[in-house]
Amino acid sequence: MSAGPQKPWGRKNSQLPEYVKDSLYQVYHFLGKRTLKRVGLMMEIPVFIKDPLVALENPLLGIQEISVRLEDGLFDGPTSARVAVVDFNSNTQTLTDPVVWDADQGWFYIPRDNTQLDEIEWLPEAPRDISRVKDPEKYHQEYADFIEKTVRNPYFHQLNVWAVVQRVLEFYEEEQALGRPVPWGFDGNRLIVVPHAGYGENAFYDQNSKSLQFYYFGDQEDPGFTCLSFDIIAHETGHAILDGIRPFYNQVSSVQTAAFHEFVGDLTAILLALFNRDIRQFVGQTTEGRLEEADVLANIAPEFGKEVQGRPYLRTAFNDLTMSELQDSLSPHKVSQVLTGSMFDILTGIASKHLEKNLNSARKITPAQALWWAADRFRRVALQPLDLCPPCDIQFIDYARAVIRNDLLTNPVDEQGYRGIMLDVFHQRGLCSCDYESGGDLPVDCQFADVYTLDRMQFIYHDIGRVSRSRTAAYYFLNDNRKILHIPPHQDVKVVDLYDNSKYGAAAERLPREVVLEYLWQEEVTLNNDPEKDLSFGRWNGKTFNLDCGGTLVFDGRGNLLSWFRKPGTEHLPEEEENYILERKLAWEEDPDQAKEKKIKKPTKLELAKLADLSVGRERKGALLKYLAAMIRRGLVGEPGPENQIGEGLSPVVAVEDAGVVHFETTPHLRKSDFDNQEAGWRINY
Amino acid sequence: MADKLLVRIYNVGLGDCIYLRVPDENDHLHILIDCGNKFSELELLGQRIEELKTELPDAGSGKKRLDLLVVTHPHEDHHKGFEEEFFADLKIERIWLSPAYDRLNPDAQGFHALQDAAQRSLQGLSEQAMGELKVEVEELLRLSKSEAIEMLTSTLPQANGIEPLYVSADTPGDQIQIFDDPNIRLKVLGPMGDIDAYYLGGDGLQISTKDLTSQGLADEYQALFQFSESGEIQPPKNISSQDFKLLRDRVSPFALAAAEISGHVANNLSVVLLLEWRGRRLLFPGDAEWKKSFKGEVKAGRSNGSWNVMWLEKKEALSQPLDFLKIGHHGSENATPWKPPHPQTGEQHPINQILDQLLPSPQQGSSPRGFAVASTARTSRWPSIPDPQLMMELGKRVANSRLEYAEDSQTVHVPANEPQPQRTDLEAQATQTPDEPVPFIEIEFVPMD
Repeated sequence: MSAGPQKPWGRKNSQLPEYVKDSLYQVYHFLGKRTLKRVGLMMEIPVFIKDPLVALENPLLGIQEISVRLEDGLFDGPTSARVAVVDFNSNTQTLTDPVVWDADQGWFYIPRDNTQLDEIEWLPEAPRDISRVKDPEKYHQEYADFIEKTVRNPYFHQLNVWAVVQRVLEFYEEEQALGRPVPWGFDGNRLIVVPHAGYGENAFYDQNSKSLQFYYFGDQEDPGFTCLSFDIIAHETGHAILDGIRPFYNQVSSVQTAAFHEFVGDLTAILLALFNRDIRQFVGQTTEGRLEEADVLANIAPEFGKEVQGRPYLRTAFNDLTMSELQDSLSPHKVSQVLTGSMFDILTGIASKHLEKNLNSARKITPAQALWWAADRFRRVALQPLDLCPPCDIQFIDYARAVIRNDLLTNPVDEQGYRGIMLDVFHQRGLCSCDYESGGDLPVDCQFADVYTLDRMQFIYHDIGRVSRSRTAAYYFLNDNRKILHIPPHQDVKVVDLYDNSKYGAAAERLPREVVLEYLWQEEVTLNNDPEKDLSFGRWNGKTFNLDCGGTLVFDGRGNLLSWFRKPGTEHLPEEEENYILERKLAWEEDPDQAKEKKIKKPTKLELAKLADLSVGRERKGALLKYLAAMIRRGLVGEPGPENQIGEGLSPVVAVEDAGVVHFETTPHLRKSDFDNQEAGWRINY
Repeated sequence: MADKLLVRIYNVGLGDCIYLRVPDENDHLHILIDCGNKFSELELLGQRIEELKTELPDAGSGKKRLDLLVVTHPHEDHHKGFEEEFFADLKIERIWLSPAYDRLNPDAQGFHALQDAAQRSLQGLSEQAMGELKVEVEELLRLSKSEAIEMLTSTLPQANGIEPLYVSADTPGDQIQIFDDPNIRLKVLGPMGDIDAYYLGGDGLQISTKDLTSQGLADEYQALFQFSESGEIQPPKNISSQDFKLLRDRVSPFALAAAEISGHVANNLSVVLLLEWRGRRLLFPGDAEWKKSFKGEVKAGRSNGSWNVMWLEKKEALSQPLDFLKIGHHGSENATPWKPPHPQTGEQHPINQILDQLLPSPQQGSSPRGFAVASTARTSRWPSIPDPQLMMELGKRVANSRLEYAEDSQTVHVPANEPQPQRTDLEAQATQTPDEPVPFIEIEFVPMD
């Protein structure tokens, strides 16, 4: 355990004069973390690094201070630029006073009415450094008392949950991840965080109320607070962040899209744990670097899991599930395990390789160091590709391809051969079902083949500086290039997002600026019962809904295309044109000589690409109809509650009708209406 | 038959319906414990009661005599079958009910407040809910089946010219001595009379006051589970009042939480009966639960498990081996006082000492003394019942274990060739006609003295 603060929590580290600090504050983004800490622009906030249960069992994984940016406008709540804690309890219909920020002292304190500042109660003190303890027994008692006191202190909860959300957000904004400010997925910039929303076995992100809500659960005698579980907070913040960078992943399109949200939540929890020095050290010591034994990392939210589901983890990253084993599952949580497991395999692969390589070298490294090294690379490998992903309907294979593409861009040489590990894992897990053999060439039908060879595209030129300047400018670019991008001429294509970023590469070098352009259009589809295909849409039969189509273009600073991930539709190629191309294609395939003789025009690359996208678009449409029908059959689709309230009455998916079109939207996954209800094995009490 | 004690566990699906024929000094006493099930048809229960009647002696005027009816607790799977028509031609001498049925019990006001809150919130929910949730809510609403409560507390006693007796461990011995032979006894081990204090608790859940009296708890629970009544609150200073209004609308108390807690408490109010008969000891614990917290200890003012309380208050009665155990709560993991040892350290949970006393693991070379039966059915709704680990553990400790059961390979099941105690749902596999469910499992006991 790290040295606890001697004084109440949240502290100033620097004695620099104010005007120096003010100047430094203005160049915050150019300073390294170490410098920020030294000059007092970071705060140390103590939080549970796993949860109270783990803390009691293992003081090494108890409470630790994490660094959070000290913002100028910080105030009570805590309330920072992006996060506002509101301690509203729906069971008691009460609002607990916020923890108070004292800017002069740089400390938080417990609010008291009519009390002068010097009389106020500070938050409890952490016990001192364990290594300097003279009387271990006494220390352990003190420690247990301290944990108990902390768990009972709602003001600590407010601080804990705020600091972790803040940390996760900063983690995503750093150059090793997205390298840009991350927006929220709602209209506004402050995420509301509710640490004690009420009694219930859940915590969730709710876009509608711009909030993360944490409930408490379990025995009345000993409630478990989800707002004290680092993993749960990280997981839910992961949802909020993903909703910010890809808002259309919230639309119902397939089980994998919903599962991707869960995956990002779990990945966030695992990554944050990896970046915690104490956890890394603990893992390094107890497993000697064999990550496959690192329960503490891969078992997400131990307390929640133990209490609620009677098993030691919620979903584990150790698994060997493959896509084919879960092809019929409608449970996003379950399906997400394939991808979480894949990424954990990649992490394990990187760490083991690094440890192996250095085993016989003169510069011996410890397992903890290998883990740090792997974590640093893994974060880049796992998070940077998010910017490449399509704007809607993401499938695991899209993400896997983005991972490889991003690695090609940021680590082209790949001296250590990590890309081979990734390809092996993705194939073993069945994300691509081609006959790829480890170390061999990619077969022609391999889904990763075209990621390696991005075709040069003959765009109608627009200056990238201009394109990146505004969404309208970007639209002009898209409009001029509809044909090459397979955007139907009649569709009013939207620029969903436009940003540039500044990331670090494999060797922590600053990469050239990237410009990311996400665009989307919607095709109308009618829900028609079709007994032959076993499609039935219940009361939504005959209604119209939208198939989201679009893509994400990434350019470098000079306008070169770096990647293009797309979700084709079905309207970019009129039937006549389709038939015309098909006929010619067939003729050339059957007998090229004859085709040549007959002067049949060989289909162009662009025509073939359009044809291929058309068939992908049709597959997408078919899959979506099938998925919707399955969800409706299982009773998972409902209508929103009265006055847009949420509660257990709400179905996992709600159908909202707007101007004659039905939108299917996922709702916060409340425990009792969860997809997973049947599989989770709740304890019964009838 | 003359001198044998008969225990018959009727196969009613997921539920309990148990018949005891106990030889007394001059006669036999006929006892029925519970009659209910979940998911299965009511007719099945009617059929079982008809079968039971063939075992009962005539009581004159076309009626059959039942000496004692015990209903352990107010849940559907224990009392759904109490329909007037099934019991019209029975002459019932005594009715013993769980104190959970007694709305006027001054020591159970907290429990009733909680139950009412649960009921109210479920009703509210059933109007909005859809799909699977609606099914679940309606199931929970049916759980307490108020017609059955009316039937047991009023209709049936009146028809038989008796008053129901709400029994607890504090009921004086003379009121529950029904045998002529003073050495044959039915003992009530649970629940304790002071219901709210033992089983409800008042801490946690952000209950502010420490008023642990029954009324105090009742008030707390009412306050805790008051849904939709949201008064004026000054908005917080760090978000706008519109945002706060939106937030309040979207922060939801979990209605099912009240139902869940109330369900656990009702289970813990199960009448736990110990029958001592000529050297034999038979235990019928209803759905009494145990709690793992506090290392199995009982804490004042906390919601304690029934087994934990019995271990504190009735330890002596639980400190000798049993001849028969009706496996609690259909084999659910929370109702037999045993928890698998810690997977890494092998450490045993303190609660296991109770089962070690009741059904000790046999010494090497010797065979188990006690019998146990699970009245159960594996359903898709609750696939984890009965708990496989528990079944296998009990299989090693009882004289009537079966090796020939094979469960369909569902996600949760006991592997083939593992010993299990007899189970009503699988017993057919041990007969010549494995496709025909058995009507019951029965075990006879000869006197030990």
